[in-house]
Amino acid sequence: MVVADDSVLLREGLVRLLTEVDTEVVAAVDDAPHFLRAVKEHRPDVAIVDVRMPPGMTDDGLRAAVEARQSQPELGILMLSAYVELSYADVLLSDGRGGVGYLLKDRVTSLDTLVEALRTISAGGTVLDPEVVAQLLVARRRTDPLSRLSTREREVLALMAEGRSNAAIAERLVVTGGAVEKHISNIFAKINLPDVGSDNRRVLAVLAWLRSR
Amino acid sequence: MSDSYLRDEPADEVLDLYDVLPQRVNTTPEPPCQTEDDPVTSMIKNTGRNLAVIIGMFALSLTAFIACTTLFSVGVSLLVLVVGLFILVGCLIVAGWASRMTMALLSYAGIELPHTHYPAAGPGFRGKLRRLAYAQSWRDLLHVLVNFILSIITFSLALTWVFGGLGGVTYWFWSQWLPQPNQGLPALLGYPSRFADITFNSVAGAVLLITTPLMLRGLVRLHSAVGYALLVDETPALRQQVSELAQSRTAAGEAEVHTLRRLERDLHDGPQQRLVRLGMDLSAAQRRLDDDPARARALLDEAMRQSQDALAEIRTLSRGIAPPILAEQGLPAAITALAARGTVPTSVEVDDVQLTDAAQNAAYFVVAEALANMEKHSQARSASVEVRRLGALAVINITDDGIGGASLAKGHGLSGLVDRLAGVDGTLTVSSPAGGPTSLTATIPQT
Repeated sequence: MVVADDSVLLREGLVRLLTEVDTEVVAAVDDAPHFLRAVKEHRPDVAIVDVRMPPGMTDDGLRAAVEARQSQPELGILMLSAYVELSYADVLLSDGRGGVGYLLKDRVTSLDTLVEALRTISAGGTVLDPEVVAQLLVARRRTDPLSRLSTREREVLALMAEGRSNAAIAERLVVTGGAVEKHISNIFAKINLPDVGSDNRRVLAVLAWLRSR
Repeated sequence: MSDSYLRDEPADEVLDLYDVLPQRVNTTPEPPCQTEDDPVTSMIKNTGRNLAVIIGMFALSLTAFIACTTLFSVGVSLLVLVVGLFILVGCLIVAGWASRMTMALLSYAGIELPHTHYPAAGPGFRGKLRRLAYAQSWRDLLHVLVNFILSIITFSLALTWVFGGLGGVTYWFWSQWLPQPNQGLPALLGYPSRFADITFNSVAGAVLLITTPLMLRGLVRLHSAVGYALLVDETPALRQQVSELAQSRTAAGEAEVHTLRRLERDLHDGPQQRLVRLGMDLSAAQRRLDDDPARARALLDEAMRQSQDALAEIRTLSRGIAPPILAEQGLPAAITALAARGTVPTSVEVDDVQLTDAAQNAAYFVVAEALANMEKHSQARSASVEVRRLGALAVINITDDGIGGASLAKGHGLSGLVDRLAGVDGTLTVSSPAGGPTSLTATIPQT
């Protein structure tokens, strides 16, 4: 695990949290070039990266993460940012493979959320902050296929896009796994997307569709 | 989109051959005419109107000139006796009357000049003499003189053209009654035949007749140019505009101060209190750590809750300030974020509009407030936000299918928006009948 964040408070807080769940933090860095060097040297499984880092203080962290993944494809990335920025989610998801996550910084005060996210990412899934998903789900035109979905279907779609498994969705909405399956196939039918099977691939398909609107 | 919500656009200017007027004067290409007339008829009508105006102008200016010259001379010569002053005032009053008649004549020809306001005669000696101090009155007098000279010229030219034209084209008819021998220009040039004579006059007449409408229009425009130069005093209008701008700027400033004050108060009442409480709970937990760990844990749970609530509150409050997303990613992204935050499914369509930073802020807050209102009161099931380019305006439309009842009255959340929008020359209208649906429309001029 490599942690990259320019705020010392947050960086040390994260390291402390991770150590508590017995995750080895091999490097904690505070700017993009350091991050790239650390990844190259230690070859971690997962990295937690803040979007905004020196030297540019715009999206240096994001670009560094993308670059790192190019040279090390199995690297999982959990990206943190202070505000929802849909274009960043777009960049992260653009290579179509799983193993990425995007959370708002506020979200990581909860250890459970952090651990769950890291677990999903390590297993190759995707994690998106609910606020990011909410913005993705805003209809773009009156004729947007999203407006055809019922309230329940929107809820299921949102949870799917966040990266949760069917089981997790069922638990969250207090319904059976079968009901969730039914909702999902309805959703896919309404938005005209072919069903691709496994949890992970489904999520990626949905996200790709949401981003392309 | 209902056009009645939009502000009136100024009339387009029409350029023609004799456009000597600056932009401020409203000119219609032809006087107010019924659209059922075909072009020829309306041209004849307008030419007639212009001719009438020129003749009328001559009569008016002649009368005014005589009257004013008389009164002026008498007034000046009697200045030693105070009565001269009053006679001068009378002269200025006549001049003022002549100005109004001039403007009336011009408006008959379709040219509108902005009217001036004269100070009312006050009570007593001094009051009656107020006109003498008013610069425009003297300009009116000057106009009487200038217009007189001008109208001699225009009158002569107009009559020459009209009668020359008419006479020329009918020459073939009436020339037989001219006393003989009749030596016209053609004869002097070496073409003594009657045919040449008739041809020459007919051609000349035709030329004059064809150019009459343009000529008369041009002469009228001359009068209006002089009138504009001397009779129109723009200063009051400009002062009014300055005062309006100052007001709208104040409104904007007020809105901002109001927001900041509210923010200050809310920060004090909300997060600050929570953080204080947080500190107390933490120090209490510290004390209990060794001898009562269970109690310490309970306090720490409480502290955790307080900190999360404080975070949430700060996030809510910072919405009163323009969020960073607006400056960094622009209006479409910021509005999408607003729409995503609510529980009512809201569709968002934002055109590419060019707005100043202040105008962008105003637009953002209109949407934010409208959506917040909708969440709280409307019980809507769906909503839409549209930002469209319409000419020089950006039009923001927020609609929902809720129960209606929104209003711009003071005390409701929307009333502050009117001030904010006024600060960027924008407008706000609401249509929200009981039972719904609700539609809010704001317009802001683009840069």
